[in-house]
Amino acid sequence: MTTAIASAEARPRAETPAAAADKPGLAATPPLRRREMAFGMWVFLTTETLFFGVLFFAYAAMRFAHPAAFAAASRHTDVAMGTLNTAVLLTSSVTMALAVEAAEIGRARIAARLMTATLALGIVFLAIKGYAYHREYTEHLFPGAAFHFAGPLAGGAETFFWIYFVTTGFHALHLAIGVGVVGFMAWRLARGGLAAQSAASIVNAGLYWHFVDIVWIFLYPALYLVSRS
Amino acid sequence: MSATASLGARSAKVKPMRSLPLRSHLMVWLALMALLALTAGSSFVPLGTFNVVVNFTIAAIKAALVLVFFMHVARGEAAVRIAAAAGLLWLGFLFALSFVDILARGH
Repeated sequence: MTTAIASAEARPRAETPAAAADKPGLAATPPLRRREMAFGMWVFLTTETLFFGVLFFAYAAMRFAHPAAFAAASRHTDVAMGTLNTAVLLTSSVTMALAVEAAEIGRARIAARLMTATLALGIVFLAIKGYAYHREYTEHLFPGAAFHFAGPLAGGAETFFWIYFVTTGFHALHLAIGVGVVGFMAWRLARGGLAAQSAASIVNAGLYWHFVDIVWIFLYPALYLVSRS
Repeated sequence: MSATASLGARSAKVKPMRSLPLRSHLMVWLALMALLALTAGSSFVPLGTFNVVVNFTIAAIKAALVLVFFMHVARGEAAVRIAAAAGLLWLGFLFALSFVDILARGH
């Protein structure tokens, strides 16, 4: 299906007026401005690395302090949903990366479609995550007065679920922002082509999306795979 | 000035392409899915401490694939690579110094 997009759609459009209309948009961001934008995004992602880094450190320190409780608590997370969500998010990074490539070569319509696919996968992720939260809530795994975990490891298990909800919650918040940004850009792209939505901004949206993906890449083994064997 | 010449720093280093690099992205996707299957599968095999090593090594490989092939970190400018490296460096400081503190207290 994807090959058909490239061959049947992308190539013949190369010299059509629609594609030509996209070109001023491509040229609209001067090279120096593009460099500034990319650098600015990377600096932002560095601060984000440290933001999530603190949470990962809290995780590592608490797992070090309560290894048995973390193993027991992790077995109460839904590994099937976690694995499915990892696949969904990794796939969304591929469609986002292709959207960036499409924007870079002036294929506004294909880029908009790929970004729509990306945000749809993001919404699927959030829906699965929301369902997992709901199940964990009904199983009294949400920390607080209603938290219930049988056995002597309840204290450490509650710490695990604190970290689980804080890290996945902040991750979901980041992803929701990403869905909004990618959706807004796809909408502008579909309406006005690359003259309305610069390729340089789509590159930055892509960097943000991939960063959020990388955070999940580490959350997945940290939260779901502590002790499955 | 042609449209490709004005694309900017990142794209100037890439060969001008007229179609999407579907094959390379499909390969990266397959690699990511294979690694996901490997990490999920290995977790159900009792390997002791080695389970956590395998899981986080695979996570690091997946992150590296995303950084290199989707975020083009290796292809980026020096300033971009310095920014990315600075994040990892300070993350390293955060973990190293904080863990030293925890270990020194000895619980």
